[in-house]
Amino acid sequence: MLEIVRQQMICIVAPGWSGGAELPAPLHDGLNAFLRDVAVVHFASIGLLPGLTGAPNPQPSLVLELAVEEGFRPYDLLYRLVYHPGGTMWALFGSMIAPNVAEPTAQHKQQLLDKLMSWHSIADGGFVGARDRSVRQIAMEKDLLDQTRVEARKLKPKYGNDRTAFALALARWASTNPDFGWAATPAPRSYWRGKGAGIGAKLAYPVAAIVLWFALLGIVWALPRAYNWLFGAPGHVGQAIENAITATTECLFTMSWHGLLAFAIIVFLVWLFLVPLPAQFVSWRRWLNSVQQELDRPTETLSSLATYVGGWIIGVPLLLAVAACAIAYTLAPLAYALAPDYMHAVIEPKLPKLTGLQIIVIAVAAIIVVLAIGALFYRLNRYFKGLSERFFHPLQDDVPRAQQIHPSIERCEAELVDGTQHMFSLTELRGPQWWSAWCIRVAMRIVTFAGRVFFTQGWLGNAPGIHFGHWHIIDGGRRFLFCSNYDGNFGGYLDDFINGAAVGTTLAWRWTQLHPRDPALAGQPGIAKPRSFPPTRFVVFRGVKCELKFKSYARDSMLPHLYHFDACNRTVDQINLATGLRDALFGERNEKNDDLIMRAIET
Amino acid sequence: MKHAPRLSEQSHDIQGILKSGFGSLTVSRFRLLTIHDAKLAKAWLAQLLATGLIVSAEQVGKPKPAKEKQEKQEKEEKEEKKPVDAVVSIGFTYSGLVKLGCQETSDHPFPTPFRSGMGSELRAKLLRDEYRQWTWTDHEGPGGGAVVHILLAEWRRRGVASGLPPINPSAFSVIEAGDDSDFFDGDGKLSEPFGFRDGLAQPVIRGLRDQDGGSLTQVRADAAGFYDDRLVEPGEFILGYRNEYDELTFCPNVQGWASASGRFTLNGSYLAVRQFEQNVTAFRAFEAAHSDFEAANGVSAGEKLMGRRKNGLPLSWKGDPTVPVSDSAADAFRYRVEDANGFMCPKGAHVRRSNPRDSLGIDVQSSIKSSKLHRLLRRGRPYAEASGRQGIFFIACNADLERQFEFIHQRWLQNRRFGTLESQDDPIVGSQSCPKAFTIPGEASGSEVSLQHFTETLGGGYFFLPGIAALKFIARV
Repeated sequence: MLEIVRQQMICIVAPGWSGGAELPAPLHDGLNAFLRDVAVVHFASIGLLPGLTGAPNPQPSLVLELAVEEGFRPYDLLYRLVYHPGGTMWALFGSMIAPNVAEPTAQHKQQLLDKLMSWHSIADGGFVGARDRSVRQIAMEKDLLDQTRVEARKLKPKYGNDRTAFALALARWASTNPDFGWAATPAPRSYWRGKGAGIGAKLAYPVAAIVLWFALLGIVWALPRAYNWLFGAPGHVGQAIENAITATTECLFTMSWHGLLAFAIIVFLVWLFLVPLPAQFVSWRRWLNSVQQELDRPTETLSSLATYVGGWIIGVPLLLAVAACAIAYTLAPLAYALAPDYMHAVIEPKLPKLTGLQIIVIAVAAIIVVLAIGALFYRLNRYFKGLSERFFHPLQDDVPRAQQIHPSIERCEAELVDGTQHMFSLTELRGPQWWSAWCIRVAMRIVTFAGRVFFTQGWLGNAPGIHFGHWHIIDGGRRFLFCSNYDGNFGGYLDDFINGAAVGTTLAWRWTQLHPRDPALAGQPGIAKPRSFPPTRFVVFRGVKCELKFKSYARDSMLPHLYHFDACNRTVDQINLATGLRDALFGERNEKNDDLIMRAIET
Repeated sequence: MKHAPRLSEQSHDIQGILKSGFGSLTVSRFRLLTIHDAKLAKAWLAQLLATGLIVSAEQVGKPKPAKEKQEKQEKEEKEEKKPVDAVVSIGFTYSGLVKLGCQETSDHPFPTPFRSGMGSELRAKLLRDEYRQWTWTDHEGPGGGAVVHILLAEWRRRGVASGLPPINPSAFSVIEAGDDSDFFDGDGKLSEPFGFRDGLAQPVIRGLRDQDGGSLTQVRADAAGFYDDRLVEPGEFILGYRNEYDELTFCPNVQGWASASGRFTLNGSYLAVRQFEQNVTAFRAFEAAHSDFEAANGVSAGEKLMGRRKNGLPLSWKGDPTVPVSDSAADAFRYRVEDANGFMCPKGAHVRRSNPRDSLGIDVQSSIKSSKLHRLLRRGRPYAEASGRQGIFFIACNADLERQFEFIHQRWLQNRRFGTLESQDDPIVGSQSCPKAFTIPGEASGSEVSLQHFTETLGGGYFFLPGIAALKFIARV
């Protein structure tokens, strides 16, 4: 499932670029014509990556970023590009395969395809805003929207204030217009935007998986018994197999429900402390908020330092203890199966013997104590105002060279100010690199999964306007490339990440750092001083919340593009609006659809 | 570990403009100076400092005492506020600072937008100024115009003569943006040339509230639960303090500056300045041409463009619009719940673009939080010339030009795809070629009106507004 998303975003990193910092105009125009003709590429960008530090070849690498429609395998896509009659891919990469060959032979083309396959990398993770639309669909739906607006202007004097009649007239016009026959078929949807979009459908999958697991155990447990029933009592070997299967399945069954129960209790406790208790007790809610605020606080205060230390002394051991209890409870059946005597004779006497009522009383008392501690801290803060002001007052912080932007980056931003913006960011993986790469891949898969299944309306968390955002671990796990095509401007884009997708962004980038590097070519940005990603607390807190450090880190990691292609130049909102209008015009005539049509034509 | 400076202890060093809009000083005048002789310029600055016209925030109102009870504090505020008759604020462009000998340090340089200057070609593109024909600017660029170094803003009580030291032509050349101008009515309300109440919808700096608007208790009560929407952290406007990200705002530094309190720019701010000439005749003609709209809807087409009634009330006001209300009450509204479709205040209206309040995010709270990252403290005034030309000398204080002024200008005002609009920029200050369309949403479906340019930008620049100690440093460095 994630492969489909990852294959939509490809980067080709070709080492040994010997050209300049600008593409020749004919190549630029050729790329535009070629990508339009191929008609499956949403966005394409070309940039230069500085040579790897210590690498034998100091020449920059050429990176070609492609964001394409859903459902293309990289080989099929690259084949289509390489064998396009225009020969543009050869014009771009040919000098790296066979210098001074203007007209490639079939063998050259095959070599190029092989090379591109070896240089390509599908995204390690990514997010696609307007996910399941093809380039053609976006263009056609835009046309429908434009023409509907024109028609609405004509019809307005006739239907002025009657929404239902006006919408009906427009729907009739659209359905009888032969140009829009294609729109009568509902817009294609990926499963998670269509049938699987409801929360019920999303919850049904894990529930079904659990039920299937227990059913499987039951079937395996029943198999030897069915055999006995069919063929009579088994021999010694058969009996031994039956005993082994019975013991194993019963152990797995008990472990499964133990694990499930432990998981359910943990989920319940998390829900209890984060949802009903904050709703019921103001002091708890405020204390909880203040703890999060302290953990996320970008500029250190005595309060944030104390919370961090308190987290290590109390929070982490407490969570580890809960996790250890859950694991012990889950694995207990296995221990009883493997060493029953030891468990009965040694472990059991050490365990407290509590009745159910006693456990409940202790649990309730523990919850009350936790709430009381929260309330106590909250009241202490309010009571000792002077002390508290000092406690919460920021400590001095030095962020050198903040708010600096390289002119080449600003030029790129200015160039795209009326369209979809683009960024290349190149960082190095923090050591040990294998560990950072593993963590990034795990984090990326989580983000990709969440984007695929939950954030299906074009927003990643609370961050809007992302068309294609993707991360690649390149150069054998040494460097980390982030490419994004987004609406808005760079600063606003990062603000959206800070406010709307802080955890995911921190998780994706915290394993990186900036090493000193020379510019890829003269006029491009380099890095003078090494720097780490803004400091995090407990892996997911702070990080991107340090606006100055984060923006400065992101800005300094950026590389300008030499070329940018945008097939549609529509914002995510506009794309969604056009699809909505298509569905409304050709869907049921009801108030919701009528209103959508009215709102769409007045934009 | 040393604590960062406290705002309450630094108000003596903050220029008064950051605390007050000087509503009682109704006469204003703006001058733009180009330095010819740095030595003479510094001498003049020293003279200006000696006049006492450059007042601190402390002088225009007492800072909030931390342990006092609120009533007592408000009483003290009223008793101890010293009336000032004339105030001058002064800001410097990047090239102005360089001319006066202030060299930024390599570790703490000025932010790129300020160094680059509003007038530069790059900023013209980034700010989406399609066509510039400027008379003044802060940096040589495509619009032309004289490159200025200093902004001098003067506010005076009616009848009080200017106390500025005479400006030596050998030291500076001067561009006057209008003459002495007074756009206040008898009730002390400010209106701009099109006839709209001005100066509403200002952010309130936490810990440095302008007391012009009445007592805190009354203002809060009038805001009816929306007061916190306008309460913004000081670091959004004053360098060196906590901002909306809970982070200390970046303070650039200059060589030779030595102070235990902090860097050169502590207690300063950046001013984004634009001089707009308003074509009042065209605006009136537009309203007259759509007089039937006013008859049908109760508000004029011009009010729809602006997004407010001329008396300052929101278009969604439910009470009797002829009954006067406080500024705080007039500014207590949101869009998301009451006017999501823009039936009252159109989605593309000027005030909705420049401050979308709760309308752009995923929910009310996150939208308000997000819009607080893009607020401007407006300190400009309308101006008029003897020739009859008039307009607004727009001054916006902000601590991060890129995140505040430039974002608002590029992504909201000049953005033709704001929200889901198609090919429509701001109806009042947009630079799109005309005639252009403006949609007025309505039931069943909205209508469109055709617009001409009602304003023209005559000049613009970024200025640094230093703290008092930094100003003294500039005068003697």
